[in-house]
Amino acid sequence: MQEPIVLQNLTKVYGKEFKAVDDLTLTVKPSSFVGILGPNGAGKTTTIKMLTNLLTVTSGHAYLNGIDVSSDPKNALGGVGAVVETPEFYPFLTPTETLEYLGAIRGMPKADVKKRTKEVLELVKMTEWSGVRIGKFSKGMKQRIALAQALLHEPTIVILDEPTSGLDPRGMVEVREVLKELKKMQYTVFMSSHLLNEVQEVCNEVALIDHGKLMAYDSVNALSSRIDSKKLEVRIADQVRGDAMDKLREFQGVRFLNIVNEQQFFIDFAGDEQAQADLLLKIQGLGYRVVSFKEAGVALENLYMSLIKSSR
Amino acid sequence: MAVTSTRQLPSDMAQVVTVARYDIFKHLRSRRLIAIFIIEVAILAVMLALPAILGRPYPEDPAVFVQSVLVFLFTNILIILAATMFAGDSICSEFQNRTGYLVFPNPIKKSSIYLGKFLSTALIVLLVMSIWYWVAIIAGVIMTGGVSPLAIESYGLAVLYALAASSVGFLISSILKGSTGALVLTFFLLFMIFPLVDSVGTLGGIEPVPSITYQARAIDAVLTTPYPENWVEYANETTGPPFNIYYFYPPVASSVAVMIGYIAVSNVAGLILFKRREMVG
Repeated sequence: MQEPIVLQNLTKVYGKEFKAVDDLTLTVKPSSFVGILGPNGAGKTTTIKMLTNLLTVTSGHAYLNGIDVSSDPKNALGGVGAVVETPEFYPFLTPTETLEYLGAIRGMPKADVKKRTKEVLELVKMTEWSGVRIGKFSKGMKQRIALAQALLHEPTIVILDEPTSGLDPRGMVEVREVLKELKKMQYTVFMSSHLLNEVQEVCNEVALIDHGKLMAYDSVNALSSRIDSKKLEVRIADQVRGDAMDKLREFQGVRFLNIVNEQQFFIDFAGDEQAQADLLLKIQGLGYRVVSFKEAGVALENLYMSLIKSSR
Repeated sequence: MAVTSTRQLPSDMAQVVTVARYDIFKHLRSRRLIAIFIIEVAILAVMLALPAILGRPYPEDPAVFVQSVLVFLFTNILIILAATMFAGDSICSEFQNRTGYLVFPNPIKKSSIYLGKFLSTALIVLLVMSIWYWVAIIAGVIMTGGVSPLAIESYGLAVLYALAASSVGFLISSILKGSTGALVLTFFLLFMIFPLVDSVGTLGGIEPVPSITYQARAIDAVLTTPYPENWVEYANETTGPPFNIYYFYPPVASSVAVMIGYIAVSNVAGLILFKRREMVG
């Protein structure tokens, strides 16, 4: 089977020497949900823009369903639905008219457009706004219409660039629900994000990039298993004492202890769940009444931070 | 749900028509079109009523009647306004307003988008010019009892000039980043800069053949019988040294050729620039 997305030594250079994307190579398997993760300026959006023919490729190749985007963009993008940045809409058109327009460009028969318009607007919860001109829609509403248009023609590949960017918390939750639906529907999704929890929540695979270079590309589980320590947040009802903290630093698995205030500290801890339970007993054994003892941050965060740090 | 879309894509020409259809929607729902209709209807009403108000007779010749209603200055301004409003920001607005992020990642060539937009602009300026001329021509039929083929010829030249001016607007829109700059430059280029060059050339005795605004004078000249010829007036009764005053009239064939040249060159250059332009920022 043809791999839906193949990036081969993809490079984008601005000016004479600024490499926004540097020799990026990766292959996305069919029906996988890949998150491309990296800090601001890492090259995520540039990669997506080259994939969707919004930017020209300096060198290398981007293939969609086996077709080179640079040499044959029309056919390469035929099976693709994309939301890049936060697109703006023609304010004089309604969502239904916009979807009719894009459906016609994509060669959909009118009956199909009508049927799919109803389905995708239901999916993004915009049915009641279908006949209202988009001009006065909020950013969140526009983002949902953007998702609807990307799915209108039942593409084989969906490319999303930070789909929850700029949305309020409710909007983010709603868009993530749509993303989870896409995952169930077996779409091949390639999504950029800088939100670790979002990627961990919806993606099967993660590509970590920084400075335009690929740092890691694997399944979420495989990447999480590379992490051999976790960050634990401890809050106590008593005051932190220096001697007790020194004893805690000597406990097996404790790599670093950071006191935040008189009643709170963080521990970088390497160990399994049994060892973690023993650590809790140790803290209590030191005479502290523990208010809370929990993992801080998401599993990918430590790996992400260590990879990003090592690349700087 | 199965996700197996391998739909046959429409031809480039079908996509040109789709883009044009929805771009016409934009024009029809815009205030710009309403504004230009109001301007032309107001001018037509005044020019048609003026002889009656002033108690003067209407011209009896159909061509002269049309010429008296559609004063060239107004025709020229109307065409420049139409080219500015409907072409001046046609391309750059896709970048500035970020609608390019919606349209460009679709399976459509940029050339189809460009041609579709130009087709829609061409149809809108054709509509504007048709109302302008056909109201005058029909009024001429009522008042004089006939239609002059010269009026039809003038209409054809006016449409050609409107298309050439719109092509210049598309080129500017492909070069500039912002809509406001593109609109202002299109307007001043056609309204001031080209006519200024025409005047300077004429003063020096050089016929400004390559100028689009000079060639547009054929729109009015064609309504005059016989067709005016170039001539020179020797002015020696002045306080300074004597000098020549030149009067140039572009032949219809030259006007048509230059207009077509502007349409071709501006659109080829505009299309190349549009295709090379990236969606940055």
